[in-house]
Amino acid sequence: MKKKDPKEKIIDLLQGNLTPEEAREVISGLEKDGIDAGELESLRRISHLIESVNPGEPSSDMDRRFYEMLANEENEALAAEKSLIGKRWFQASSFNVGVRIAAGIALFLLGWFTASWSGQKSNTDREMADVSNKLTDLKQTLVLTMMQQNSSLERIKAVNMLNEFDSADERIIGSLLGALNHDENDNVRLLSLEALIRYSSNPAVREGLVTSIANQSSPMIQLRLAEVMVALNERKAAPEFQKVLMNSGLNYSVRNKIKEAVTVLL
Amino acid sequence: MSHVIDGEIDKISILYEKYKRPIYSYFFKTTCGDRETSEDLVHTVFYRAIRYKHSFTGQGSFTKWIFSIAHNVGLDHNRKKRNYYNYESEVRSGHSIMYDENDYEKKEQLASLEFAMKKLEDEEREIIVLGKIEGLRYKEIADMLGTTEGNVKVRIFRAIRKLKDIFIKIENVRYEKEGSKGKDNRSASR
Repeated sequence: MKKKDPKEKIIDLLQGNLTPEEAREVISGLEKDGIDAGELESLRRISHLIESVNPGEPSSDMDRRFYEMLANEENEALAAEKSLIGKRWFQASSFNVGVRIAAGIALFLLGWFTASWSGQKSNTDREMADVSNKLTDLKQTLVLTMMQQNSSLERIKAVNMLNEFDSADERIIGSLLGALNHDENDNVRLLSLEALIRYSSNPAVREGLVTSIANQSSPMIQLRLAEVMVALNERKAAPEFQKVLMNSGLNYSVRNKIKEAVTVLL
Repeated sequence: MSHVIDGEIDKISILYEKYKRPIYSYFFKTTCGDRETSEDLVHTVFYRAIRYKHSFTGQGSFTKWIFSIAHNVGLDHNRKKRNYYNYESEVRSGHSIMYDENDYEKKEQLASLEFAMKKLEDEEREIIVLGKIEGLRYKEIADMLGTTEGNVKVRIFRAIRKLKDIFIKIENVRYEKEGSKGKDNRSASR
């Protein structure tokens, strides 16, 4: 092992980073290094004097400039976001999937009312329920199709529409878990997670959420998953989080949050 | 910081409130008490922190990251300063450090220290100040400067030793002056 330069040890001594025993050892070897006790005392004095320099408080003008700059940056970011959303909406609204869904449902309803009006069948409760189920099924199918669109904006709309359903069948759960694990867009994954939380009483959803921990790299989603697992008291998540903690490149805040979650869950 | 990276820019204000004083103090000491410049440089540090927020990976501490920016802002400032005027000519007669008016000896010592600090090279002054920042480890300073922890300590030692030698010379001159003043006063009173 490389021997420490005596100058390094003196800095440790001046900073108070040595144990009393180490300090005694350094002091006793000082003369050998060409530094006498008088010089050490001078170095200590100057070091303390530097620490005692009081820069005072910065002026309120510095704060004012910072907050002005921050407001400008926020406005710029907001303007850029609005412009992007507007552009996407314009591109999508020419004849997007949402419009097609609405048109499909409208046609279906028109057909049903036309049939009813013509008096071909009597209106019974059973038929009403049947139509309602078919409508829901059609809507779900179309929304699931939207989930496969290339546009992340369409997929975000689809996840939001899935939230409108009172219950979720296997297809919806599967689609949301698929999005949570594999969608390239962070917002789609986060929205899918939020949608799945509604169905967390379903064991398949809970299991899917636990499994998805290993697939997440976005700090935003990792933080949310840690919160959710603690809220659900899902103990099976602890070993998955422990595996995540082994990643040395993990975001500092995420690491702390996950550590907290593991402590609670274990 | 992860919130700032995710687009919640306003969250940087929490970090600003926590770090503005240590960063101001860093610049105040490295610019030898230039308040106005120190405030300008703090502003630049936070402007760059917002603009380059994605460069914070979370692998090192936030303290290290923000002081790396401060170090680079300081380097840019020193470069410009060398280009525009001779630093030696800027040595002012007044002092900028806050002195306790009641402690004459301390006040004089701090004035000598300020003068001695001005006599150091920019890099020497900076390494001493960096070594005094709370929460910033030698290893992190070494990473910032692209060197080893041992080398950082050796450089701090050399810089403090040089500062001490200059300080002692200035103090000796002061004592001599005060001694002669005392003699003059005594002669005058006779």
